[in-house]
Amino acid sequence: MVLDQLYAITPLVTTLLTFYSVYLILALSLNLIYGYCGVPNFGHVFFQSVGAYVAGNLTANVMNFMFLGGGNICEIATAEARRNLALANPAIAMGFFILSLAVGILVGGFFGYIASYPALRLKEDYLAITLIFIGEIGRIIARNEASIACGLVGLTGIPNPFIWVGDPNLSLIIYTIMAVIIAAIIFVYLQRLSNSPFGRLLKSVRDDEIAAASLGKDIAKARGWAMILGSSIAAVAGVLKVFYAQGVFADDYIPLTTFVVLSMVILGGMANNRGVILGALLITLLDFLVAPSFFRLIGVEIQFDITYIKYIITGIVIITVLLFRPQGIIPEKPVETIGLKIARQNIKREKNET
Amino acid sequence: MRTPILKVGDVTKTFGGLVALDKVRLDIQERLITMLIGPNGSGKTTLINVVTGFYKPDNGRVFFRGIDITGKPPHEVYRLGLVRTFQIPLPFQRLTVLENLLAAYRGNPGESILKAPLKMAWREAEEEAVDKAFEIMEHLKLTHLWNSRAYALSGGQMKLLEIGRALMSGATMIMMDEPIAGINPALAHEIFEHMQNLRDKIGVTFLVIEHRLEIALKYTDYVYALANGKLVAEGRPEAVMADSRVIESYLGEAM
Repeated sequence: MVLDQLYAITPLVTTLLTFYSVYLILALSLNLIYGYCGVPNFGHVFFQSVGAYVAGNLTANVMNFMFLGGGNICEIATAEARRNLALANPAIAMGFFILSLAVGILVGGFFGYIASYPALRLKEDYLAITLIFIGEIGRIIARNEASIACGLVGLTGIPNPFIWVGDPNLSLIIYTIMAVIIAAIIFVYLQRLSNSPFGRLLKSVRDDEIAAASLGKDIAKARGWAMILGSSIAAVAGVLKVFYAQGVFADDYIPLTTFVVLSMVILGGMANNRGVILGALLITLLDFLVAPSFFRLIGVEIQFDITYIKYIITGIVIITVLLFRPQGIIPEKPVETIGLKIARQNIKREKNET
Repeated sequence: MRTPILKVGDVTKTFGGLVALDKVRLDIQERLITMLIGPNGSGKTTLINVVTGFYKPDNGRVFFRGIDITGKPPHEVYRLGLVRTFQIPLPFQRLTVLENLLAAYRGNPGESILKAPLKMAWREAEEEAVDKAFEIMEHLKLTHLWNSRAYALSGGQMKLLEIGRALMSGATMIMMDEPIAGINPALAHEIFEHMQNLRDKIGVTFLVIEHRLEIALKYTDYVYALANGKLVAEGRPEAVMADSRVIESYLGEAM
C-alpha cells in the first residue's frame, strides 16, 4: 500500500530533484558570470536553450538519419520510432545523451564567446538589455523555424537515456541520480575554480576594470573566459532538461527563467557558490510547493490559478532580500586559497609572539 | 652624477595650439623622492601621462633604466616596473586588503583558467605572493587591516593600499599624482614617512606631484618646478622655493 503510494509520487519527486539540479547548474553558472565577474548576463536562459536545441536537434536528426532511414524529426511517428530504438538499444540511448552533452558544451561555449563581444564594449545596463534581447531573438527564431526544434509544436521523442531499463519510474530515478551527480561535479569544479587566483582575477575585474587593467590584467580575456565557461555550463542544464522532459519546447526558454535563476543567486548570496545551493533550493521548493500539482497531491482543491501567487511571493522575497540583506543569505567570502590559510597562521603566530 | 633611472629629454607635447610641455627635461635619480611642482595647468599631469604612455609626445624621448619607452603603451611601461597611481584611489572594493595585494601580484599561474582548479600548479606562487604581501603591509602599517574589505578603508588607507599594489606588482619606480590631496595632515605626514621608508629600505624611486608643499617639501630630495609647460627651476627644495621664477609662477609677476 505504502509502496504503491511511493510509486505514485515517484515522478513528482524525480521532477523536483532533476529540476533542482537543472536550476542549480544554471544558478552556479550565472553566479560565475555575474557574481564573480560582474557581467550582467540577463540572457542566461539563451545559453541553456542552446544546449537544449543541440540535444534535441542532434539526437533526433542523427537517430533518424543513421538508424531510421531519415524522415521528418517533427512527426509523431518518427518520435515513436526513436523511443522504440532507445528502448531496444541501451548503447544508443546513452550514447546520444553523452554526445549531446559534449556537443552542447562546445556549442554553448561558442555562443558564450560570441556574446562576450558586446560584453567587452557595453556598460552594465546596456549590456544587460543587449543580452536579454540576444536570448529573446534566439527563442523567437526557434519558435518560428521548424528545423531547429519543430517551432511551436515542439520536438518530442528525445528518449530518456535509461528508458531501456523498462520500468519508467526506475529510468526516471536513475536519470535523477545522474542529474544530481552532474550538478555536484559542476559545483565542486566551480568551487575549486573560484577559490583560486583565477577567482580573484574575476573579482578584481568586477570591482574595478581600470585598476585591474593598470595592474596589467587582461580584462577581455577574463570576461571572455567567464562567459565561455558559464555558457557551456548553462548548456549542460539545457541538455539535462531535454532528456528528462523527452522533448524541446522553444517557449520554455523565456526571459522569466533567467530572472528566476537570478533570484536564486541574489537570495543565496552573490559570488558565493554555497549560498547559491541554498538560494536555488529555496526558490525551487517555492516553485514546487506553490503549484497546482502539489495541492492536488495533498488533496486540496484550489479555485484559482495559484501560479500567480508564486510570482508574487518570488517578487516579495527578492525585494525583501535586496532591502534588508543585499549580500544574500550567505554573503561573499574572501577567495579561499592556500594564501588565506598562510595569512591566518601568520597573524596567529604574531599574536602569540606579542 | 649617477645615471638617472628616468630620463626625460626635451619632451614637447601640444594640444592644438596649446603648448602643454615645452622641451621639458628631467633626470630622476634612483632611490630618491623627487617632486614635481607648479601651478595648475603647468603641465605636471601631462608629463606623467607622457612618461607612462597615456600620451605620445610630439618631440623628445623618454628613457627608463636606459630603455627607450617613448610612445610605448601603458601596459608595456608597467611591465618594466614603472607604475603610476591615480589622483582618486581605485581599490577593488569588495576584496580584502590582502586580496587587493595578491591580485596585483605578477604572473601567478593560478590566474590561468586551466591551471586554476589544480592547486599544485599555483601553490608555490601563491605562497610567495602572500609572504610578499605581508612584507608590504608591514612596511605600510596595514597588517592589522589585512582581512578588511577595501570599501571599509579610509581615504588615506586607500592611498596606502594603492602604493602597496604598485609595490606588489614589482614596481621599482612609482609616479604619484597628488597622493595627499584631501588627506588630513597627520595621515599626510604618515604617507610621506612611508614613502621615505620604502625609499630607504626597498630602494623605491618616487616621482610625486603635490600642491601641499608645506607638508611634502620636507620629505623631498629634489624638486623640479614647471610653469606654463616649461621647466623653470630645479634643485634642492630650499633652493627651488627661494627661486624668484618659482614664486612668480605661483603668485604672478612682480609689478
